[in-house]
Amino acid sequence: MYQYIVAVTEPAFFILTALVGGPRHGYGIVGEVAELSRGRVQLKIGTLYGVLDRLVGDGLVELDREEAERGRLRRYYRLTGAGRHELSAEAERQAANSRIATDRLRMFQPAKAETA
Amino acid sequence: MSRLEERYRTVLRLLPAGYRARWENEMVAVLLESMERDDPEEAEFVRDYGRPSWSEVGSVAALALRLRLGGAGTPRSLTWGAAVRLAVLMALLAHAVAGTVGAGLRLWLAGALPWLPEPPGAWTAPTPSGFWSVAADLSGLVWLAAYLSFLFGHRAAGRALIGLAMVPGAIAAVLSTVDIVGGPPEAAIASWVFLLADGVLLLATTAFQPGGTGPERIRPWLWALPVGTAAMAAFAFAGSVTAMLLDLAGLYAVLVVAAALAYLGGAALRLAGPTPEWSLALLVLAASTLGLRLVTLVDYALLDPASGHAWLAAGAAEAVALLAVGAPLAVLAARGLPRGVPA
Repeated sequence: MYQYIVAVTEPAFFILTALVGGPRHGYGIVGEVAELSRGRVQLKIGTLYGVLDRLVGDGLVELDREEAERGRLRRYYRLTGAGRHELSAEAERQAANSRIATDRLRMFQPAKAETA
Repeated sequence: MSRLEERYRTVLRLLPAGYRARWENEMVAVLLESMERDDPEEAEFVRDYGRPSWSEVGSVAALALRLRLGGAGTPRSLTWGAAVRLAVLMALLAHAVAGTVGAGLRLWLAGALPWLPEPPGAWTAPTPSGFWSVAADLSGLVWLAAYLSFLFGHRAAGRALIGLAMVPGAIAAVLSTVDIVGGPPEAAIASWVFLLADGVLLLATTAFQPGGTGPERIRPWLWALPVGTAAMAAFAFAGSVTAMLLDLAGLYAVLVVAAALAYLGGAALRLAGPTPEWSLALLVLAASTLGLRLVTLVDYALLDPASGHAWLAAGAAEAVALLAVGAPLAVLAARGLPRGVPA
């Protein structure tokens, strides 16, 4: 009864952006997203893998390689062509929205308080 | 395996098995890496005594709820997800209708609806005035906005509106508990139970996935608003004229029983085939309303015996009616639910 579309939520947007520069593993994505958002978006592991699962399922992100680091599994993920296209479309949409709001704000500035 | 890893793996058991098989080791690796320390002594302490933060545990719990309510997985979990979304929409519809009737009543009593006949004299006397009282009455309209938000796929806005709509209930619960007006504490348990039920409703909205749209057919849900509002207004008027023993839990019980009878009747007459989603959704609502009804009866048991007994009898009748419709709904739901253990 419900239809689902590929949704680029804020965490998904930042995860896709974090992978533009090259493949990254889970912890690398968490660090890159924190840096890109200047600390505003601190991904929790449950959030990261909830989104990553969806992005892989939608074909926007894919496994690049697996490595063992100090006995621990490290899977690196990379952006697919569809992922790059989706991110680009979302970035354009957000930029267009931002332009509309900025233009409106410029157009309807509150009257400045009169100075003596 | 360190104690820290053991603890995190225990938390990850909340996730469906299929999902865990795919992601568990990686999630553990990320957690351990995020909690690494340079100082060997401190690192050992964290391995032995460290715990995943509450926010990490919360993110796993939220993910588990999303996955189990239809984000991904088996046909069974998808059916459950659809049923919970239907139940949430129906509960929001009931809130929206009650809120609209309450706000309309307030405006009518305040003389803001001059085209309607004058309210009976007995109705106007106990109406409290003042900003907060008016705001509380009109706040019911926030439920209407929340309902429309979920209907049109605005999940985040809908959730925020539910949170906002819960504020008057929270204030009422606190006031009824601390009893600042000096009188006997009335309906204290009911206030908290209703607040808790709204909290559960808010949690159940997790079944609406990020990016999900509203129901495929919006029109029947929109028509349900004016039809439900008119029916509830007529029912409230008739109830007050005949001094019917009907409180909010009772009203919800009547609504759920009426909806279930219409559904079961339609299925029996083969007008509309029963679906597992609808059977489950109505069963969830019947069970929740039964819980509300039984707990709120405690308030009546605390009343003086003269008036308390009548309310207890009415409440017991409502509980029996809910059980009576719940049984066939459970049978239909069990028959229609896809087989297999949820992943």
